[in-house]
Amino acid sequence: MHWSWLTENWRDIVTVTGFAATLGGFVYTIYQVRKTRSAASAAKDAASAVLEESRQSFRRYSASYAHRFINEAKIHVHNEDWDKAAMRINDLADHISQMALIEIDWGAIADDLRKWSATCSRLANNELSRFPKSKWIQFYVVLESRIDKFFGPFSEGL
Amino acid sequence: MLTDVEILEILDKLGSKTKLGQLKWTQDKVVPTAFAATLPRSIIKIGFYSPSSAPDLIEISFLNRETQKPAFSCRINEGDAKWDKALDFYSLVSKKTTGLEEILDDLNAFLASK
Repeated sequence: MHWSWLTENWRDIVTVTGFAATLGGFVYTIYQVRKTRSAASAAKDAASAVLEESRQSFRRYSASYAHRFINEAKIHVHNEDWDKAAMRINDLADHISQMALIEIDWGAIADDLRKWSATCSRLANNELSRFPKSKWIQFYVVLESRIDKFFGPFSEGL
Repeated sequence: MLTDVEILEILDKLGSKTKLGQLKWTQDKVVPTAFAATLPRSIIKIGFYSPSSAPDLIEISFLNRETQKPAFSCRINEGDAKWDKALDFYSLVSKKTTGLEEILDDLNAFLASK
């Protein structure tokens, strides 16, 4: 191809225009990359919000079940129905032990609950003659407050 | 194996000997609520325990002095028929060994003086 028909001026104009077009394309690419990145960030934020909402829902569900099991256990203990009390306290221990996946301290509480369940079973089998009522009250008051603290809407864990 | 009646009888007799100072008890270095008395061929141990999720209990063991192995051991839980007797005996041993009995005598003598 022979370009000799272009004057020097026109060659400069073509060069500058080409440079401007390249620069424009580069700027446009940066703009698109940034736009894509902010969209990805928004998607990540949305996913985090959904995860947090699911976590809160799970905590509310867990708290309501834990309170239900405690209340039923308290009724059975009050009625000295030791078999049922042992069963309900054990259910609560199973439920609470799931919480150890979130916060390890719940594992120790689940162990304490299993000991309480064993005490109720021993009462049911006439191996014990007295239930340690004051220790039980002290235990469940602390447990209820920990559940409220952990599972409440503005909780930060144990 | 000892029957409940035999255990109560032994506790009564050990209590009398302890009151008279004829049976010396020592406090356990690790568990402060446990005490031991040594006889020519045996060791008597008594301990008070308060588990967080079960009734308080008193454990009494009779060990062979030579082998240090328990020949008989029993746990008396709060609320059991033998509980009151066992707790009285434990309190007596504890007061005698820790010096609380002397302190109470001294305190009472001071309070009774004019």
